[in-house]
Amino acid sequence: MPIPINIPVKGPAAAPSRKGEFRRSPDDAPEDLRAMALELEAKGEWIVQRVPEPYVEVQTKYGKAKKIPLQHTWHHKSCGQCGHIPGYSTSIFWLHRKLGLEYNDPRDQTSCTAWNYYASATSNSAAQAAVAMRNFAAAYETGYFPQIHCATSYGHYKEVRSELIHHKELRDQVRDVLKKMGKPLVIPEEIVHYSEWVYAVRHEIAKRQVLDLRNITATVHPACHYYKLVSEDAIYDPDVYGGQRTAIVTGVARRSAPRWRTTRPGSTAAASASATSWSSGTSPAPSPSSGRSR
Amino acid sequence: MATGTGTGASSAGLARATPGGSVERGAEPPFEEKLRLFNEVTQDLRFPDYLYGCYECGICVAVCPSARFYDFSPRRIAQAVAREDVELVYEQMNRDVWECSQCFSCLRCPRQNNPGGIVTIMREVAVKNGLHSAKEALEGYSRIIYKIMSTGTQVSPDMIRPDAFPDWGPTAKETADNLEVWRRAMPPETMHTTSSSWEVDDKTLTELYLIWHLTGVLDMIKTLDESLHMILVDVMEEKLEEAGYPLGG
Repeated sequence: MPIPINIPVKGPAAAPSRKGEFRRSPDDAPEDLRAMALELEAKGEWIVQRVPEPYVEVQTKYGKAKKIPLQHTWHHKSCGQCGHIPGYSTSIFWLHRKLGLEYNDPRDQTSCTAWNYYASATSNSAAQAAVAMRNFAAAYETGYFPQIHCATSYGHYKEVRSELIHHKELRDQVRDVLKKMGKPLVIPEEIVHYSEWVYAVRHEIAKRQVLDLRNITATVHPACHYYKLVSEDAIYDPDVYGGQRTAIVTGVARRSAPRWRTTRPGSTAAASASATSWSSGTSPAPSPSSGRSR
Repeated sequence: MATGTGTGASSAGLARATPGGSVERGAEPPFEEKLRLFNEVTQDLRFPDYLYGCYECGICVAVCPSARFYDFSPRRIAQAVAREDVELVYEQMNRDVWECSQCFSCLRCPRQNNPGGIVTIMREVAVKNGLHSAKEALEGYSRIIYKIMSTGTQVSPDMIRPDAFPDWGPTAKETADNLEVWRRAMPPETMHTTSSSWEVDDKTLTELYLIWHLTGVLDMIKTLDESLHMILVDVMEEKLEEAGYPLGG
């Protein structure tokens, strides 16, 4: 039986009176890592790459404002998306072009390598931090600001930022590694996921809507590392997906059409992540929740 | 104070220490060796941020997907290290840690513990010390490690094989058969590749290789899989030398 949820959630499901609704309280807010990063910059420990203008200010879970740059972004691509679901990255670029927003799709980027690290542990905190900071330095050298496509990279980089802020010995070690390749130690002022950018431009996207998708019921895979790692530094909006996640979602549309029908070509970029539709028939169908959670 | 009286004492026969420091399958290692591994876990710079105490409320177990399918409990992980139960931690390092999916659902702990993070450190110590259980858990995973360490990306289009992924449906074969054409048809030129997720510059790759060398990751691979280590060194050394990076020390 399908779960009766629409995206974005409106009406009774998002009413203020519902049980267990999250309410922002600055008293519950954890430490402000952005402010701490700026303090370290003032001490000469590293450079903080500022968010370029124009940007949109949004609210995170406990009410801190987060700057989301609209353009001049350096696209930190995702292994899983580019390798197996390339419509994902292609759509993000397509949206930028449709909105007339400038971006940089670099070759001077490696994976964050965290997917492998979480799976096999064949790495360590110094290597993981060095990989992150090499990518950030590469972005800084171009003058473009990192926009991260991968949920794991996004969560992992926020953890790495926290580790670097709290452990001087780790900063020193990573700084030495980068120095050998002639790169500075740079941390972005904000760590931004592509879905946060989508959130920031959602009304502009809506103005260009071609198809009405309101009657499509969808299953979703809110990526674990997106909203569980350092969750306080992600956009929180109770009107979007019941406040569970801000991103447009990975998922497959469910409708009553025959199984395995390919979606009509050119039917919106966002839909290209789900090129195949699932039936709601009684015959066994592959599990729609087969997306990996790492 | 660390103890050796925990419930993990039943793990006899899991592994034994070797003169080289790695731990092979066979007899139980002495307590001192288990204590050394335990201390390696607790001395990781991240450890103090991952463990604050435990209410035994079980929230972490309730939300843990691995706990639904395996005899795995993030609560037991947090409690074993909190109680400094060296025997149990050693047993967990040889079995339980490889059942965690590293989704970090357990981060909703009301005491701000991070059992998933503790598992990350325990796995790392298991790999670094060549525990047989780590080698066993990662059997068949060498191809992925090779891919990520040598190409700088983990998932490549040429992994799309209908026999390997039948759940991808009937279009997987057509995609695999015409992979290069499909990839070249995509607008982003960085994705006109089939052997890596996107095209990575040679200079960028060399910098990544330097990171693996300088941070001891290649040494970890040597402990885990000597053949893989030889192949990776072969791939990396020439590029590093060409770029003028010193490899000694």
